[in-house]
Amino acid sequence: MSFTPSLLAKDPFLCTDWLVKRISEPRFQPIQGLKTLSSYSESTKRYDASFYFHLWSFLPLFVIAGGVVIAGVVCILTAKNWHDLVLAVYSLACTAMGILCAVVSFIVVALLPRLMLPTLILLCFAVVVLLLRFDPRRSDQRAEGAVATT
Amino acid sequence: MAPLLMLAGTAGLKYLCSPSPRRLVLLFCFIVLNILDRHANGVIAGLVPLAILSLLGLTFFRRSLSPPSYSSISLRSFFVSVAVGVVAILTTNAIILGVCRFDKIPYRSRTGYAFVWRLDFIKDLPPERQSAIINRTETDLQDPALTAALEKLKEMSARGEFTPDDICGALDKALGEEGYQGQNRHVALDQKLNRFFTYFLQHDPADLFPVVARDVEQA
Repeated sequence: MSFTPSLLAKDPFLCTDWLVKRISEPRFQPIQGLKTLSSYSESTKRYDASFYFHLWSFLPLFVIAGGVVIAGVVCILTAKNWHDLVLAVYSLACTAMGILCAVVSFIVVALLPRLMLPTLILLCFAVVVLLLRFDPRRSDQRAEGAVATT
Repeated sequence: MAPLLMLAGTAGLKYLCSPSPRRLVLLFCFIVLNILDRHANGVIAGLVPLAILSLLGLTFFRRSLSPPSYSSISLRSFFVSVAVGVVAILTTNAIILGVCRFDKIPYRSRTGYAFVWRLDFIKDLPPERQSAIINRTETDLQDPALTAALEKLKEMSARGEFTPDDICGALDKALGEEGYQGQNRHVALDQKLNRFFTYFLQHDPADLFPVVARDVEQA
């Protein structure tokens, strides 16, 4: 990948904002004259009010994680068959892996919200797995399977 | 990233519910794709083994909930799932090395480079602790280029500042003075930062882990 001065000067371009703060450094001397690099464009400001970017802000991740752990333990204790147990254990495993993923990320780099995306995905998946217990189609299939084996 | 994680999770659940070689291959493929997407997502390789191990433990305590005849959850399936995860990680590395070889570019892990940004916590440590960590690292690593970078870190930390670009700049400058040029210089920079990262994790994790825990909590 090669960044040409014309590409760097595009607005909005994240590298432009990165460069604006460092344009005085000698290594950027060849592009110091570019007009776009004279002001901070705040290329991400337009997304500040976007609903999509604040979709999960009302619900902290630890609430989802804690909720899955509590619900998972309850489901394990009240499991009536093997499938219920598998679903509850699998949701707990997803939660554990989601948190582990965050820990691995933060050992290497400092806190960045985007690094929590895999954790969020795995936690949401854990919630879906827990809800599968109430799937009526799955219960029907299980009943049919039991009849077939008898 | 999201669809791949979901698909790997679904493949793992399908395998747990009714294990079959086909589902195992599917799980293997999704683990490989997840790691290729982002290395840290390799933790997904541990999802099914962890679930099987937990299920084995639970069935020991709750014998009434024994697995049905078609479900072969056992120690053997645990070891098979661990093997699938390990082979997936090895396959991913082989693919990456193969692509590098095909494109005739040297393989470079940028973990150490990313870790420079993590060193922000050093400026918040007491001055004596900052000096102790940096001095011991310099003595143990015995690398002039890394020493230049660590001296920069020490200088900044003493002022309570942190600019990762300056640390990389100091290392890059030292490598230039040592005669490294072009691509070799970039590769050497990454290798030295990786060496520092490995050393730090092995010798000073006690200072790092509270910061990691705080970040996870904040996130």
